[in-house]
Amino acid sequence: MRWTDHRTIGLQYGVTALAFLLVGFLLMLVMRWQLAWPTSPLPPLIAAAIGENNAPSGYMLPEFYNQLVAMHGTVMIFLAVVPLLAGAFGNYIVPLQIGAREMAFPRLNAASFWLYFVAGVVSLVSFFVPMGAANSGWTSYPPLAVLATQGQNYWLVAIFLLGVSSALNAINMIATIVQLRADGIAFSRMSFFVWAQLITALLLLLAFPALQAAAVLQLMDRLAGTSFFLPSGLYVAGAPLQGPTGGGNPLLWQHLFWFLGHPEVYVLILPAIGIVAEVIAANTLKPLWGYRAMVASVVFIGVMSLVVWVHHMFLTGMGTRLSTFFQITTMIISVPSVVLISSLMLSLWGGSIAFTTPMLFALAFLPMFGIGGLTGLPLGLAASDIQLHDTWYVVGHFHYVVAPGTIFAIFAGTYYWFPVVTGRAMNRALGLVHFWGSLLAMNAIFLPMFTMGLRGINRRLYDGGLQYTHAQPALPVHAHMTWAAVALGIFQFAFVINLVVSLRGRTRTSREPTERATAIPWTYGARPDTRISNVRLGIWLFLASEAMLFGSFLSAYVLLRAGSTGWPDAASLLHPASALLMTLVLAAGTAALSMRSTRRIRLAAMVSFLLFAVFVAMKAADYRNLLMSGHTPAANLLLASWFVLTGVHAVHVAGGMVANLWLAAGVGRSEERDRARLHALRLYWYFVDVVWLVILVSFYLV
Amino acid sequence: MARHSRQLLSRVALFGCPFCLDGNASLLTDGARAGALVLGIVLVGVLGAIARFAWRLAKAERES
Repeated sequence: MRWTDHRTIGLQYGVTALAFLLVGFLLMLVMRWQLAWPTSPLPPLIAAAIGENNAPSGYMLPEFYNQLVAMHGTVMIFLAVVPLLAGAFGNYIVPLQIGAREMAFPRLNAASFWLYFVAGVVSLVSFFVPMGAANSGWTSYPPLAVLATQGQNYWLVAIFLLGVSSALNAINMIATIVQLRADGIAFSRMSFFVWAQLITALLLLLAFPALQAAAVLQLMDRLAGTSFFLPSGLYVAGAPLQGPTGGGNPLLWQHLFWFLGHPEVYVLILPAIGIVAEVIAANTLKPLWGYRAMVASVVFIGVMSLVVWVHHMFLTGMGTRLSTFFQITTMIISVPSVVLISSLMLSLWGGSIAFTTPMLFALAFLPMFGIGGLTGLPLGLAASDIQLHDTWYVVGHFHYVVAPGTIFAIFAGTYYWFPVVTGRAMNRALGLVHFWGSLLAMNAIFLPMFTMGLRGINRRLYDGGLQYTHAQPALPVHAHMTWAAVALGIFQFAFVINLVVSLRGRTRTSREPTERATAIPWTYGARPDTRISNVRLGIWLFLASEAMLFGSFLSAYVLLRAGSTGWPDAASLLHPASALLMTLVLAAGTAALSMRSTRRIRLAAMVSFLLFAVFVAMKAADYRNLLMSGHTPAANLLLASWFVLTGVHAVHVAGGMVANLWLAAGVGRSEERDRARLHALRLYWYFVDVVWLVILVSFYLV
Repeated sequence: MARHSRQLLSRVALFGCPFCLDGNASLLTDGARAGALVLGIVLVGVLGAIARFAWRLAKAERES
């Protein structure tokens, strides 16, 4: 076993993410118990696990319930479902399906997993810090999140690390699919599962940087006293908020969060549809119906998912034209989703259907996802969304998409590819118990949520609505839903026992039935040369992600500045002369790497390293001067933006310096490799220079 | 073409985005739209580069 082997990393992702799935499930059970019986003490075992601080005499505090809500969503989405789909299935299956022996960047792949692992640990550790974990919902809306307890800091750090991990995983996935396909696997003949993984990787690459930027800004608000998300004149608990200068915009967070948040929904669903497509093709013994339409749909969804995010914000009071635009894009994106589901349904037509355990999960996925998708349409229309947005209806809709939707696809994929991984098949009887139990229990949990939502019952009440007259008829339903959740947990034992028993069983199975499953024959012709090296493609993808990161920061700066009525004069606070000098030093450092001869790479790398070190030293001196004269990030939004933008840029300069050392240290083994590395590093420094110029222009000249 | 582009740009700068303007707010005074415009420009640039690369790959595959 090698730690950089794609199979090892796929299994690492799988096991870790399943453990997080269990954690998220347990958080949900505690939450559901509280909703079902808010006036009774928790069972002694749960109360003991939570502790007296969070549940005095066994009665859960509302503050702890808020932690459960925030962390259930965070753990399930960011630490369980996405890593299972993109990390586990993607890493393990994609190279096998495209005939690649390994991922394009195996060490980056391992780094991606360990960053994810650390992010997960940071998330869970936050339960044990004073005042507990993050408690502002999985969306962490300010001003609430900015003023929340210190667990929020852990949440923000974990999200940032997850962003880095996702970017590394996405770069690897895209480079592998583009570069390492075996002869005969043209794009037009790639399996649909691989297409789904490709688009998922692109979404993660381009959308996650917005949330990373938002996380940095919120950390600044919390730790450095800035006011990116805090408006002026804010009252907290009846008194004016002391400290922050204000002037920020809470909606800025919502824009940046949902710029990731909506594509994240497709990150959750596209690979799931890819798995279901594989299972259906294999268990009907015929190719997918409408393969080309499905690929076109998945590409279209990928692009469109980047321009629908505002439908999560209809309640913020936007104008009718803006909301109309996003209502239209939302309705449009539902069309390719219908194409996908219809194609999968039609793929069953005329097939020789085998009702295996994975096929049962795949078949159940279709109506379950259908319910989730169709109930989303009213939420994409402002008039109905405004009524439904804060109710249980939204919870029901989202969970139908993700629980009996995506998680059923994960189960289908696990049963289906288990023989490929272990050489053994899973037990069918236990599989049937798992499937039927889960199907019934999940519907018993989530279906009543629609009626509760239509009754107008708010989804954020820790007592389930005990204090509201209109919620009284629904209170007993909470108890039914909780018992269904308990039953769901019991049925998962069948799955866990099945995994263990099948793994230890002596009966080996042929891997052939699942390996022949890829619906598209891939033995025609030769794959053309892409005319780009792995390293070069990797660095371009990295820069695409970085462009989105800096684009998000600049977008935040422009939003705050354009919306401000008293923006300070940059020239009076900052020092144009020193900025100009730093520009020259930075450009000289890049120029040192731009020589044509590759024989003096080491010398060039070291000279440019020194020049970049001078740049960083000048930046540090600039910061020192500003801070000594009282111009701190907390003083106003201009300085806050300056510190953040130039600080993130300086981190990139420092990272590039490490890369310079890496280049210098590795020189001499192969001229071709040296040339590729030098070229990649040059591209990086050109990008860093351009970003610096854009920052200067936006602060001094515009 | 150039004249048309200039007209469009001046309209954006003076009166706001022609596609999503709500009333008489301008991009210069409306923060959210100005911010969205900046991120939109970066996004279009990145997606454009990806589309160009994908087109090149598809063309090479068709010709092979």
